[in-house]
Amino acid sequence: MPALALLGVVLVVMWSVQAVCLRKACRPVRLRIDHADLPRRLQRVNRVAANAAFAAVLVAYPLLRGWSPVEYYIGVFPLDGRAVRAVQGFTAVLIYLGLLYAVWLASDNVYLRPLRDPRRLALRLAAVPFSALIGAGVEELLFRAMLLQNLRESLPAAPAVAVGTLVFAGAHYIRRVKRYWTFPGHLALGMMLCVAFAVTGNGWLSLGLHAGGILLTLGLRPLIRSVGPPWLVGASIYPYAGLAGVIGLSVLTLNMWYLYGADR
Amino acid sequence: MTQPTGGPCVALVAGRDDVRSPAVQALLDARPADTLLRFAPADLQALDRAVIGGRVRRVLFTDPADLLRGVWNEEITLEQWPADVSVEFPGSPDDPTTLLRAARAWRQWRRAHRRRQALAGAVLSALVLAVSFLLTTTWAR
Repeated sequence: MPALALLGVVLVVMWSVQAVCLRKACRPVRLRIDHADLPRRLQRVNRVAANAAFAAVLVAYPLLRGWSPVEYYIGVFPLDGRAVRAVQGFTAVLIYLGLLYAVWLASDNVYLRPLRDPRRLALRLAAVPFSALIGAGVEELLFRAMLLQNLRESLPAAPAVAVGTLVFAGAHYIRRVKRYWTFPGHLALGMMLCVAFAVTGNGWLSLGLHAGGILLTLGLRPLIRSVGPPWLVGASIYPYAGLAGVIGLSVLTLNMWYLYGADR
Repeated sequence: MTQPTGGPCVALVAGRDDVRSPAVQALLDARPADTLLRFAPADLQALDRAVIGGRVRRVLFTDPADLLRGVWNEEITLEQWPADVSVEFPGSPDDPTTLLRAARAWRQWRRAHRRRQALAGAVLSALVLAVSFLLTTTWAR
């Protein structure tokens, strides 16, 4: 499974660059990937190295399989009528998450509290569509177009989706994070995106679902504050990590399967 | 609640037990019955209407926690009360348990509010997930 091995290479590159930076900053080398205590300049070096490694892997994978990268990714995201699935996935997420936020607002589980500085608020909101497109785009290329597609070549659908889901969820916890109880939410999210990819046979539906989720959570982040119990409404940008979110993602997964299961 | 016959008067908010306390008894004895409106702690919306309507200019709370609960439950809208209305707590300045009672009231109210929040959130979430499924299915066809 070359895709899994290439993702492992990214990890090695990230860790190696971090180790060099730690030595440069006269700090002990550690196993965990976490550059929070490094000087800003070295943090930037780490980020650039990680992004370069991801880009290199995305280019290297099709080349290793004997395809040109453009040809390979157009195969996964075919430029024809199937692209409408992205719009359908995007809209489905807006309906699910939008209605959930609406009832959480109505039941005092979420408060409206916009950032006070209008300039900062405008800048944050303006950046959201780009973050959604880039965040969803890169993760869909890595975890669905490359990893899941490769897993599907050697495994039946269910185990391929299970491995793809685990790797996707685990990847969000490689770096040090604030909270670990959000893991089931990431599992449910990974499951939905992998199922969407597996049932349609291309990347459009999962891209639309992913981009819609990022757009809404990042777009609402500077406007609201979550005050309800985390077991129900999740926390901060992880509304899907609470019980309602995990159940919501599971229902949405079934919904996508029910609607687009005949695509393949 | 007893209805007075004259103009603006005094409102007393007291539970059944509080009425028997010496401080409240002294207050009741000192005023003619028709200038005193009595409200139970469960009648705070009626008190709010009476104050906003100009029928009350002085409000006495035997337990400060009743006022706090009224504000937290949005039964009392202090910001709409006329500026010349006075709010008093007979006996409370010397009562060392006042602060403790307020803290206990806050804890109880917060716990109840959290329960209501979680229950309403859970029920409404389940409902909108079902609606979302139907909407998405209908819209995508």
